[in-house]
Amino acid sequence: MHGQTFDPLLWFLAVYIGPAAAALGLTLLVELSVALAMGWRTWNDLTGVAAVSVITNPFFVLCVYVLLLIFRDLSPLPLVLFLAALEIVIVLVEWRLLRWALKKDSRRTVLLSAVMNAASFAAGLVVHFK
Amino acid sequence: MLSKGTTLSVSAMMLVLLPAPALANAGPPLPWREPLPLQASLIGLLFVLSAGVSLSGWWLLRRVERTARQQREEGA
Repeated sequence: MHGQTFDPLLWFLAVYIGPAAAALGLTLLVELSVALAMGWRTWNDLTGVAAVSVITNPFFVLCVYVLLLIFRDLSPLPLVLFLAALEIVIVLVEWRLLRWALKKDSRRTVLLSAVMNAASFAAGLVVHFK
Repeated sequence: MLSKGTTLSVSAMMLVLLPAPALANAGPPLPWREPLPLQASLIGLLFVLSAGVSLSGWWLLRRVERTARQQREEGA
């Protein structure tokens, strides 16, 4: 930082908001692609898929930040296990939300929720540990 | 059904977020125990922003639900 002033707003944008926005963008891209591939084609269905991602993703990212702040030297395995547990909670929440909002049967919505979250979790791991 | 969905999602979020202080006591010193409490304030700000984004998603999902309900009623 020699010769430069520290700007908290710029730091906040670079450290928190930028990666959080990127994570939400990546999640939306992956989950909408999976939904399309699984035959969810109507505008209303895809908007519903995007909406549930927008609801849950910011809190997932926030949990990751808090975890990494508390355990700065956390090794990859406990981190991945914690995130996998969190992802299971998110699968259940998104399943209920999708079933309620889209008025589709339980089996289809739980399958969609599980597959799209597994795909976005895998994509997130690839990006994080690349 | 609406209240059940809301309750479930809020409960799930709280289940995830509530253990954080307990974990904090078990772990190494937190950054916000250091002289510079900037990180804690920013995490708080991030929490508020996250809640705002999630609420916008909830608003969108309610519109989706309304449309799906109307389509179902028209089809019945």
